[in-house]
Amino acid sequence: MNEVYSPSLEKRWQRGDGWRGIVPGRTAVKDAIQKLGGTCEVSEMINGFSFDFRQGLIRVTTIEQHGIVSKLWMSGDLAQEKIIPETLNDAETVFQNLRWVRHDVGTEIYESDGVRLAAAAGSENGRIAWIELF
Amino acid sequence: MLQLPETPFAAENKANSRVSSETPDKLKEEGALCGLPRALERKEAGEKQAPLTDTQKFEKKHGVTVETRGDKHVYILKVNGQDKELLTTDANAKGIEKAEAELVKLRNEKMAELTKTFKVTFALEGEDVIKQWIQKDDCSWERGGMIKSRSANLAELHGIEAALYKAQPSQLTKGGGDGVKFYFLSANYYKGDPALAYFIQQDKNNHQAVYFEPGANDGKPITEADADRMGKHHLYSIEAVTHHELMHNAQHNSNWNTASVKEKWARKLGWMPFEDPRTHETKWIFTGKQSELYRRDQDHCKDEFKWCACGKHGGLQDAEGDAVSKVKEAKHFTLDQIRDLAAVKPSTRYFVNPLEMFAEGGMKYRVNEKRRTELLQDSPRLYDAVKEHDQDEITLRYGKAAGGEPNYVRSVSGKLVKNTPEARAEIAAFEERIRNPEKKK
Repeated sequence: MNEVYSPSLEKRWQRGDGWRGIVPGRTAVKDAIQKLGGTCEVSEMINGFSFDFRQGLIRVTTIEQHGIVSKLWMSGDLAQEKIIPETLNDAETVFQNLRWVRHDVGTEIYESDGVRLAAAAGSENGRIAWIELF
Repeated sequence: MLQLPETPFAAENKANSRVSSETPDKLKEEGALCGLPRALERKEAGEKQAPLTDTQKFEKKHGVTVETRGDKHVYILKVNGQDKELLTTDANAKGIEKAEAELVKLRNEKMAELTKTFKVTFALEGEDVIKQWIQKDDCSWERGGMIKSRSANLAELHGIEAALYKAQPSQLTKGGGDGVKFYFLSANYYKGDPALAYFIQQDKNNHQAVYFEPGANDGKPITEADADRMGKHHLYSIEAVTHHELMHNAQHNSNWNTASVKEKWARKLGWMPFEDPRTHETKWIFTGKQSELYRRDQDHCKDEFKWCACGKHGGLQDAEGDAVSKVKEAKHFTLDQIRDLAAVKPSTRYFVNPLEMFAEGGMKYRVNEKRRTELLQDSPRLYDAVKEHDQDEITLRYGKAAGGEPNYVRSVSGKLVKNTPEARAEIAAFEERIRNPEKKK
């Protein structure tokens, strides 16, 4: 995904592109922390740690003590800043072959290679609740 | 016009009890209330039922019971533990026609009243809802035809009303300017996969909403008081389901879409996040009393979900405690076993994830004193978490006094009251009595 999201973006996102220089599976957690501004809140997961930035709008996780970012999670609220897609249709212009996988409370979960997102249930073009890249 | 059956209503009513003893238990058994778990857990979904008689169709349409007394029909709403006689007509076709018109009028008046009081709205008969989801053989899903809404009936409106009085301000949308919209679907949201209801973050008009599934409320008790009157197995009254879905609305309004917020509340209930190393999906691990761990999972979308034993890092374990990679190889537990083993006991048998467990706790906290007592007795940690979340929401909506105290608190009955010393004392006495029953002796 480019630095600034644009619905007319021609280049489509692919696994390995990452976001803002953070590539899950490659970027070290310490580098991700630096790229995301340094200040974060750390929480323990059963099999790793999560690091929350900007009051939880952005999160990176690392699992199994690898020290590498395993997943990058972004809140749908970031769409206000035009840095992630705002709606499901917008997301489909960026992420190829999104397919519905399951319902979660109030949302529908879609996946494609290296990406999973939640869009508001009840609309065919639901607002994005969150996106995660892995 | 309704065609009168040959059989008098009273005799037919006796022969065809409106009270279903099957659906709620089945749904409870399989842990299915609103959206999760999903496909193929309810094998009987496609079972055919006997066609309704004209009487039953009339009763279902309006949410009332019709009794024949001599040459009269009496139209009864079984609500709040009582039989409320709405009107009486002649026991003939003209009488039925008159009742039809009167009940529609009562329904419209009740909808207008609820809209005025609580800012909620209701979908109209025949209104578009959304295109149905249909599962294909390869487990993928596609959109089908447009689902239409039907009108709410009187039973549903009274059940929703009962919930609204105790659930406020959770009926409001995120901005607080208006309330959720209720839809009554004519076809299942997911074809062949019925639930009772869904919370919807964004309907076709970008509005928070609740979808009631077809048949979800048929023959159900209207309120929890009616559920008790009819037998305890009728847990999911219309009032209870509404409370549950409005708790999801409260979660949405409280930013549970944000992972850190959701996890904060989940942890209070004994759930921990686990990132599946294979899929990177965040799953939930449920903690037991001895800090042992459990996970509800499946190997394939066509498989049933199973509660499984987990190792300290969330990986599946078999009966010997050895790591295994598949759900089918893991040590399994029943729903009731997990409920008994849990560090924080779920308040009902529907606890497929922390959001649902929390919504069920919230329902019991708000619905009435009896259910709130059960919640505190069974699961004090869940009670405390729900109470904290509830007060946060109340304070956010109705503010604080100059001294920093919330303006409102939720009374033991579930209704909001001014935050006076008397109100606080009543709540404290209730909690003390339940938490320390020996002291009373």
